[in-house]
Amino acid sequence: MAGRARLVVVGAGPAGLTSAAEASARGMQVTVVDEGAVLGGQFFRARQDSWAEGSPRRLGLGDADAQILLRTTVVDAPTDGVLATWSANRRIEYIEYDWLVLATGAYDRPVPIPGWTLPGVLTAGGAHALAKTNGVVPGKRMLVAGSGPFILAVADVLVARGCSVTTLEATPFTMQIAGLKAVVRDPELLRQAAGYMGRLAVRRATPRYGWTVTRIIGNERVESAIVQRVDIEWRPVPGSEKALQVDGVCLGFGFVPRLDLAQLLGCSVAYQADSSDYRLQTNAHMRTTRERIFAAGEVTGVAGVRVAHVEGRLAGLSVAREAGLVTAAEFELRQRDLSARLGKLRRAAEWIRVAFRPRPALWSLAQPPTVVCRCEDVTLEAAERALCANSADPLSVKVATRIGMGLCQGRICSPYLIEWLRAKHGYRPAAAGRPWSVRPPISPVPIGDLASHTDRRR
Amino acid sequence: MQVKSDPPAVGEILLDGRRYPIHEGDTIGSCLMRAGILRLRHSMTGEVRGIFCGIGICNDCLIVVDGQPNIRACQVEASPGVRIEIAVS
Repeated sequence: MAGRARLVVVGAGPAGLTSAAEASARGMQVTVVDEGAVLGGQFFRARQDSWAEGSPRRLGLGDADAQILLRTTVVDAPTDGVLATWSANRRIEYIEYDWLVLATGAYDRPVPIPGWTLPGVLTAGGAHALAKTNGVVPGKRMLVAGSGPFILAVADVLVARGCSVTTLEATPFTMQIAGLKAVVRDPELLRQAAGYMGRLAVRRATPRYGWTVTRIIGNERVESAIVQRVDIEWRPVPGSEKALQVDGVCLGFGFVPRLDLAQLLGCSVAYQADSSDYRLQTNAHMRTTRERIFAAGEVTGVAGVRVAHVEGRLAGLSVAREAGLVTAAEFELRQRDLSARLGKLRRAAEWIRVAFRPRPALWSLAQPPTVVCRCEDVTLEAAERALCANSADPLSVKVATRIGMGLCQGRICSPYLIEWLRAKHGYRPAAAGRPWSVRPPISPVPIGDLASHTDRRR
Repeated sequence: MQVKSDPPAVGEILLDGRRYPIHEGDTIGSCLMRAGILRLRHSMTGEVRGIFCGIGICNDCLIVVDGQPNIRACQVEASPGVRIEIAVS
């Protein structure tokens, strides 16, 4: 059917799939691209049998509704209306779009602490995925440290896999009152939280509040960790150090939006000072600052799965409206309903975001010899030295030290670098625009394949 | 390390002349972690590294698969018979 309006959705998590389902139901020609081997993104990866809202089974998106490209990574946006993708089977391929929905999700906020590069130290999200999808864990005695509800989920899956778990929540219990209010007003959250706390209590993994990990020790892998009491601003309390024998550590200090593709496309991103992250800017219809490019889910600000799938609906509906496939009256009606639901869900998410936001002392856990850029092995010491001859802004430090010039393109080190400069060196991030450039390919591509792409790009 | 309720093995991968069973849905990283192998790479300055982000973001779990370097162990499915090498910088 030539001439149908083409929508490409990047990301097959709850937000991407609902937007695809919505647009497809309106008659758009939809393509969904995702790096994963299964639909559902990080949230539903290990819950393929789930019937929850936004789940692949509930949406029942099939080949008749959308072309689904799994194990496929978007690596470039060479011209308007075209994305370059890479996959092991099909190498470089180009897909054309009239509209785009960015649902690229989020990843664990990386936090450098001494010893965090040792094998056996994983992000909370990574450990959760491995335990839940594949049933494997880095070790028998696990330490889960961080802040926010997700560390309960990680501790829960680890104890279910037979680990003995120590759970450390940095935010003191008294500071969680705001979050608790949201939980008790929300039956779904309450049921979830009660489930975690009950199971963790049985397995002696109940979180210790106002504690965190300040050093991880080991030779070829994690052998022990130093944990410490922290004050309400998360400053380690001197003299409270305790050593724990552990085989693995999961770090879970919340999530940050994955913005590389959005930035490559020139969409505006905004800095959220109190949660120390950047998010993609969208209007009430989920449109980014660029024509025909919409966004939904965690990339617009981390708010959880329930917000993600409603944003996905709204984005899909808005795209269909622009394509002329929805009448103004119907759009108005549905948009009002979805926006009302979003308002309510976002308020609940906001309580949690504020309660568990990272406190500035988090950026002081790294010590001078700590590697802060894992790709290029740049230490904090080297970054400090670079400051003597350069201004205290991320790009100057990057150019002087190679921080962020490795394979991950700064996805791991840039959130830290920006917050460290802000907390310790008076750097003031601008409200709009991220001080970090993104260049293609945004994911590593074998050089031979890249050569063919460069030819095409010329 | 091995834990409860593992699905049955569907093949093997090879590392340093040893065989490691693949279970359904395994990536190379999960397959090796089940056997207690966490060290997957040496960094530029020779530090040992393993899976960190687990979702394909950080590129810290790069291994050599059938002679092809820079493969993310956490992302690539384990197919029977592949030969893994730990990259040395």
